Amino acid sequence: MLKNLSFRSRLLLSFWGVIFLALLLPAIYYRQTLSQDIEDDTRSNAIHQLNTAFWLLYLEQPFQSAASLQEWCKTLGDHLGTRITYVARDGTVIADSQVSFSRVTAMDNHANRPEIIQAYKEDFGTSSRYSTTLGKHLIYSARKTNGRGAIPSGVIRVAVPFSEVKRRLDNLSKNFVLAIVVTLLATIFLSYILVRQLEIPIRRMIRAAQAVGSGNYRERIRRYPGKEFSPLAQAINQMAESIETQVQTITEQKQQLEAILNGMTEGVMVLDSGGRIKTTNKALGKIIPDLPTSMGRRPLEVIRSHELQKACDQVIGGNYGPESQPSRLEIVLDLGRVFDVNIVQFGDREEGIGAIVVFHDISELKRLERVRQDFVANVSHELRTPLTSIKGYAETILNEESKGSDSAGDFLQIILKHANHMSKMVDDLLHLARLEAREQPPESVAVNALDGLHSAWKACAALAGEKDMKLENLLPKEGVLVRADSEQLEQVFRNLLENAVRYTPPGGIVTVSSDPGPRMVTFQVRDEGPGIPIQDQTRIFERFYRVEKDRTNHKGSTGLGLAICRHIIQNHGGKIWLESPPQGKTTGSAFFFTLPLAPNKR
Amino acid sequence: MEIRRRYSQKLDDLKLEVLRMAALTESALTKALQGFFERNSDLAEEVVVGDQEIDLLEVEIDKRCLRLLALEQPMARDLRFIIGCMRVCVNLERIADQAVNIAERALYLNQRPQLSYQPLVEQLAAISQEMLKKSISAFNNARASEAAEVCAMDDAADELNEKILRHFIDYMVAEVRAVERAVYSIIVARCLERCGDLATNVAEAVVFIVEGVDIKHYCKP
Repeated sequence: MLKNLSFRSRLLLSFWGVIFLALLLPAIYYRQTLSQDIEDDTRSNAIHQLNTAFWLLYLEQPFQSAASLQEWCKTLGDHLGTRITYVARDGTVIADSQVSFSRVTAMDNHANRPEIIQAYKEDFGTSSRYSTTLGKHLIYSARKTNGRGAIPSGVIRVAVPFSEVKRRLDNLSKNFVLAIVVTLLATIFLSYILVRQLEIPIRRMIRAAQAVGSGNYRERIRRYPGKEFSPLAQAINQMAESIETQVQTITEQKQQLEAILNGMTEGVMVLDSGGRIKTTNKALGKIIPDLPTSMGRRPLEVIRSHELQKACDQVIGGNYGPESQPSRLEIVLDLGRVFDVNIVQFGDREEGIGAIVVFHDISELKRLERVRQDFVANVSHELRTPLTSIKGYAETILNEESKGSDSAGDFLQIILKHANHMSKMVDDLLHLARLEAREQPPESVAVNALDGLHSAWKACAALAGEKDMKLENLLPKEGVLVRADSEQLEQVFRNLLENAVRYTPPGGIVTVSSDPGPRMVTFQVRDEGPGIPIQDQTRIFERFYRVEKDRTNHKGSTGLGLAICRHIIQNHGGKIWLESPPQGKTTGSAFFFTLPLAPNKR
Repeated sequence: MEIRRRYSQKLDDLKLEVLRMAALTESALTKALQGFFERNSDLAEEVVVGDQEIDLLEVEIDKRCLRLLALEQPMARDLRFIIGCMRVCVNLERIADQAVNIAERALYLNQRPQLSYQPLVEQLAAISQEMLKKSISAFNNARASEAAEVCAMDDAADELNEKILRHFIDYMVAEVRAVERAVYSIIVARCLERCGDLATNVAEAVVFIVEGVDIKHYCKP
């Protein structure tokens, strides 16, 4: 029970205990002794007075009547300051110094008073008692006497009041109680001050310990209340110090780990034993757009791939062992992005098996691989088609020659046409290779794009005339001055116009316009053809890439035009792209390219 | 407490299963459309074969829902969630069936000469896919606002379908040889439009789960 009390109350209680023991025991002892002494003293005083009265009674003449005895008693009583009573043998009071004679006969029978009984027995008796007659505490002493004259034999009794001393003694006890109360109150104050002195430094220690507990590891206890507390203070200081260093180490490690994780280009996801996402790194944000909300969810909830979820479940649910192989899979996400995903187990049996999922973006690799495969397939196909024709017609001519036919001229024409096509294709390929190797850095001179457009249109004029097509030229009349190689600029226009003319139905219009920006100018070549499917739009600038998969009808193009355009524009520091269908249209396509503006000559 | 925890774990597992089915359905539709647009018969074949997995999953989810309803006596949102999951997976299964239809058309069309480029069909495909994606995302994140967007997109899909139909009718008149291929293309467009409708149903189920209001046939939350 004491344990639950505060330090202050405990101190107070022990103070009180000590005070009680130190004050009350002697006080009680002294009071007891003192009252005994006082009583003894009074008693001897009473006996002394009784003997005096007895002696005086003998000296006196024999009393004639009870009244004279009463008179004598009264006089003597007044002189001695005591009460003197004469009681007859049968117990009737004959005279009393403090009661008037008329009332003496009405007094109680005194035969059964202890002092009187004792006096008859032993000639002498004493007793201390509260007198109802006088309303006082008195000491009585009585002595047997023989009757003389009118007075029968009986007992003479003297009563000495004891109350005066008793009252003082009682007063003393009362004061004593008051003194104890005052002392106790003083003790409360004293103990408060003492405890307070102890409390303030202890509070400080508590505060320091609390601060350490709540994360302020720098806090130390510098002052403490006493020697006894120094080990405690040191222990707390030591604890704080070791926590500080450990937290520092952990923080550093965590920062390192975070830096490594966030520095990775691969997305990383850590799953706990319940298969929920515990940690992610920054690179994963490219895969999961709302990364912060993904914590605590499952992979399927953030990346819509059932293969991934299945693999994660298998890894987490699988047997743990050092020999467990990392699981690998490829997933395709939105916009055709391909990821190589590695899932590795970690953790142990007790804490549960988690998994680390690493996403490696291999879209670019995949794309390049496909481009390369397609290029090899395409180039051999493109070269083989005319070669087959050449071979076929050459064989025919050889056969026909033996028969003497004269259709050889037509066949030779066809052979020439195919040979020209092949040579053009090889030229284009070489041209492209040179552009790629940047063998010829573009001559950066101011060129008027209008001139380039005009000569390019002239080159397409034959084909355009066949299909009755028109060029709508929306370039400014004075032309647009760009920094470019004039020959290459013309080639870009020619390739784009050729494509536009080739794919637009007869009677259509090809529109060329420009939109100058602060440093670059954007050209647009728009046609009214069928448009280009979305999935082909990103690949159309690849060499030999064709929208139509069947190659029987490729309208005499080499399939390299757009690739050449892209390289030229890139070499000039511009961009080329397309929109199909163009904004606000349902069919057709628009090719855009940018070129740096030439500084204006004034 | 333990019982409560296990119960919420069961609800979580149910959600994961539905998401799994959604992922399978989405990839089936994507593959079918790739098979159609890129003339890739292998992918189309995969869709036709893979449909069985989705069907089995639907049965499995149905069983799970029934067991939860019978054993746990769910209340309020949990109850709506379970009912909503049942509705979502019914619709997902139908979308997967539409994907199979598209794949089958693609298998036929890929053996014939290619029709000219059809940007309208491509647009419709993009819209349908977007609707499906959005409705699944709305289900995943319990977001009624996203579901409402799906509903709003449905009109565009219907309109496009109408346009495609007219376009192909004109085309058939001009090019009699391509009638069969054109009809198959119309069927594909029709399937895509149906996918959009079903995605709208999924979105409606999401609104039912999140807000507790039934907006079937109105699509106005």
